[in-house]
Amino acid sequence: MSDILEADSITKAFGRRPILTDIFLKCETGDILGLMGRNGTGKSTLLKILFGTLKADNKFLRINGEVCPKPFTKNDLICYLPQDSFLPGNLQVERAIELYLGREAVLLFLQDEYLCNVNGSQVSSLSGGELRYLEIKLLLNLKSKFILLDEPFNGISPLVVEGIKAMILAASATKGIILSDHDFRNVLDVSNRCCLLLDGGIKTISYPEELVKWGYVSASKFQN
Amino acid sequence: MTEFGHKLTYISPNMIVRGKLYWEFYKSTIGLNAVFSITVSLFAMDVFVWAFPISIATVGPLLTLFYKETTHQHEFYFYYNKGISKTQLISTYLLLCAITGSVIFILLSYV
Repeated sequence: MSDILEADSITKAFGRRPILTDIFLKCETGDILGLMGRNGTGKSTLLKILFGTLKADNKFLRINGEVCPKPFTKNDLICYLPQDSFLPGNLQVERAIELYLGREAVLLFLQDEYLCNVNGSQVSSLSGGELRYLEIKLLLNLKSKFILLDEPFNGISPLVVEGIKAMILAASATKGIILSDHDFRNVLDVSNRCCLLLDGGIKTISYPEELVKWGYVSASKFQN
Repeated sequence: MTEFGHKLTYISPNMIVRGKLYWEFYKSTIGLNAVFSITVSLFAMDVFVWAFPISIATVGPLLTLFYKETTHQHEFYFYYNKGISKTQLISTYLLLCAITGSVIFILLSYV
């Protein structure tokens, strides 16, 4: 069964500065919605509002037809990867996996070329890339119907980025995914729909060159 | 047992996981709470023995939460992603600290 997340009339201002003005967004199972935009256009703000941890000035959010003001409080509905690491540094890697996916999942989870060296380590001792990969893999393996990823490719080496993209594509078979990142090439690669946040609104991107038209990337980025 | 009785006694796997997450949060902060509480109690040297458990249950957790909120705010998402809101996390944490302080207080009163 396909799940549908619909967000409408989202507005948010910080003080007198409007960040989001009347955002409409829809995401279904199988969607990988790439969200792009310059710094300060409200990408993270929008994701936090969708997750339910940031109060909007106005919002109407429905999941499968049911109004959800705080979707994160419902079991297995939505999860969010923030820009900064969210795993507590004092935890052992195995313990973090156990708490999220169950004890029986730990061994299989760690049979991964990028995580084979982290067995027995404390979260605080992992490198930035290892930690990001671990967090993304944890979230993609949850039962959540929707996953919000805020800058998943930030600070990741190219080979690991490919691994993350493969995981996102595989997870999209059963989930709806919204991801935001400044690495527009990877976003375009992995997503099947793209949007650009601009002047508080949201513009659908039908073909990559539109990013030039809206002033998000320079034309030289599409040469060669 | 009636259907209502079953509902009362049934503990779902999700509740067990939530319990473990509350416990992890408590464990991750109790050391800091103890440090804050000892420091606060030093200001009341005459009644240090009694000030410590009271501080563990009151001022210590508040200072610890303030520290967490200002330096490790993003770690709350670890709990949000498992459906635990900040209100639930903090209220359970304060309850556990109150129990800890009470137990220490009772133990000290018998020493």
